[in-house]
Amino acid sequence: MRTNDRLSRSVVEGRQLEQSYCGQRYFPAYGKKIMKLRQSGKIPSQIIMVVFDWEIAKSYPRIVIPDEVPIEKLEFTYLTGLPVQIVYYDKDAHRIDVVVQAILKVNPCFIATFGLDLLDTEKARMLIKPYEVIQDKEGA
Amino acid sequence: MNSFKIIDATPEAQDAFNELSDKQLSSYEKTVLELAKLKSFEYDQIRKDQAKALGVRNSTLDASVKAAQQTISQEDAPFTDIEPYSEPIEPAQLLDNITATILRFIVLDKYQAQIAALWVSACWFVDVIHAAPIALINAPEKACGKTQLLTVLGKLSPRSVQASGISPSVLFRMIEAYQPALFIDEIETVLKDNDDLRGLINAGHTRDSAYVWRSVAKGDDFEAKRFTVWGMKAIAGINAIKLAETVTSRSIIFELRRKKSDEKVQRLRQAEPDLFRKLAAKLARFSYDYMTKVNDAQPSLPEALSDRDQDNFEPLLSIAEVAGGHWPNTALKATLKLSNTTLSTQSTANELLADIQKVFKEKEIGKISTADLITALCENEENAWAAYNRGQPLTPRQLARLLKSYNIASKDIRLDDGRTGIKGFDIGQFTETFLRYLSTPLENTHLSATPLQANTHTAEPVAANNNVADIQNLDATPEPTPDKDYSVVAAKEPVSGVAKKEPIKPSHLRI
Repeated sequence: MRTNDRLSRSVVEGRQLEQSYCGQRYFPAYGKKIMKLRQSGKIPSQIIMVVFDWEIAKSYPRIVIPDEVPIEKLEFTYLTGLPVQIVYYDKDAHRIDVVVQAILKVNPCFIATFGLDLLDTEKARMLIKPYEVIQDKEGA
Repeated sequence: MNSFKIIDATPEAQDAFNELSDKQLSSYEKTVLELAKLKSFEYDQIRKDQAKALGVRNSTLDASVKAAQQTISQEDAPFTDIEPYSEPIEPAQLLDNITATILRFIVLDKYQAQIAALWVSACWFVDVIHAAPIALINAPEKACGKTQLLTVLGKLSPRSVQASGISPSVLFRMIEAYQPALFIDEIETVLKDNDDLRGLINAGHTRDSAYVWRSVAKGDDFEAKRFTVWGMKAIAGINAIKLAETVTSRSIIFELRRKKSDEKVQRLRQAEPDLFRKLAAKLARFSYDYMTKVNDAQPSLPEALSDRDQDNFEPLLSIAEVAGGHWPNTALKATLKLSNTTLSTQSTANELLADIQKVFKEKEIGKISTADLITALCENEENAWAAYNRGQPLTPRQLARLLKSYNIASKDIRLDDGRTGIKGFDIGQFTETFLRYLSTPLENTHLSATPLQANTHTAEPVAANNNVADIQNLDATPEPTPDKDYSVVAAKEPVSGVAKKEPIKPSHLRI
């Protein structure tokens, strides 16, 4: 039996994210890269994809939320004022609500969800927060 | 790698981000961030007042400021963050690729390359392993590829720092701040008369005790401060295994040899531009996806290993177990093979090789007894051997110790005059070694008809491509012959009932 198993396990969870010193905030994969952009006054030119699966949206700016991670511990500040789309398979549908609520707290300019298993159905895409009215009329 | 176009943030988006960032920090955290940016003496002047204003103890504020300084230093760290590879990886295939890559550029036995691949993978799992074995890259002479191997391992490791010439005070501060993987060349020079550095390198081996205490100036006084020194380290040097036993016992030792003229490896500068970056990204993905599994792995540790060796190899065997495929078995075999290799090297051994070559050449013989060899070496009074033993001639024991560096040992031979059971040497034992380490390899017609392999660690042919499967199977390495130590092919009469030519088998290593 190893000593410090509890320590190692918390290190494992933290190692999958990146720990900030204040309030134990963690970054999902590629989140810190976007945070550094925001801190330097830059943003990605495309909508940011929030995914749970490494295979999804590889050609987009994205963050990958690992399995079995408390969403409330994740850092989403870098999504402030940006358009966000959550793309998921059915197996992760149970996590959508919590993720949406967490991201809404940082006030993105747009947020929608897209269920890949619901493709070609009316329920595939759900608009959570539209763009500004004028932008919505232009079909953004 | 995930790349996308970047544009300037709109004023609205940037304002929203700045406002939220400030709002998320409590007033305490904002103050701590400001204090963390101060110089030490500036902070010392105001810390008591600030702690009182914030309503916390001085020690609480000190701890918060230290943590903030650490985060700031990590964000400013002189390292490029390696993004995890976007595609899922097959760990076994990744380890095969790393092994093949190492063999592309370094002349190394395959089993050593496999252990090196596992070691560099362990650098990525440093947060969950409990022992950080030192990779000790040793060679008897210069120009054997030590620096090359150190460089290759550095290119594949996270936060790697080439730290030759570094002082202990800089080293433990660097480790505390950045948790890098350290690579130190010319270790025999660096550690000479430097017990502090040696102690520091040793202390970083075991997670639970990977700390050093140092006095740190605090105003007009000094206080004891603990620094973490945990992390992976690789060291390289000539005769590096003659370092303190405390270092070598914490090490996995890689023995390098100078390449022969027909052994071709590529130069590192000829590597594809993205080769190491892609492999590092795949290792990052490996650690990302398998951290928990490696943490939970409990591989079987060979009983033949000492406790310390078990500690050293356990992280590697854990990674091999998680990787699956042939790797658990391969890693076990390579571990046993590597841990059985015990060599000591001396630079004068090269001089001895040259003189032995001369003896064979001048006497035009293919075999010589130990006694006759020593006599021949000492014939010339100007040679070092005539007075090697404190003014007395070289002894057989000393000769054996010097040749042990090259895996050459005396054996029972049959001389041309018919004497048998004499301890001596066959020129075939030296052929490969002469080619590797002497500038003028022997041209001699008195080689035995079927030269024996000099040792059990014969280098396998370097692969012409990256396909590890093309490399000769490790299992094909012949086993030492149990009884006969001389070539039955050279015998004029059948020996012990053997009526036909038998394959040559290498002799046992003996002292």
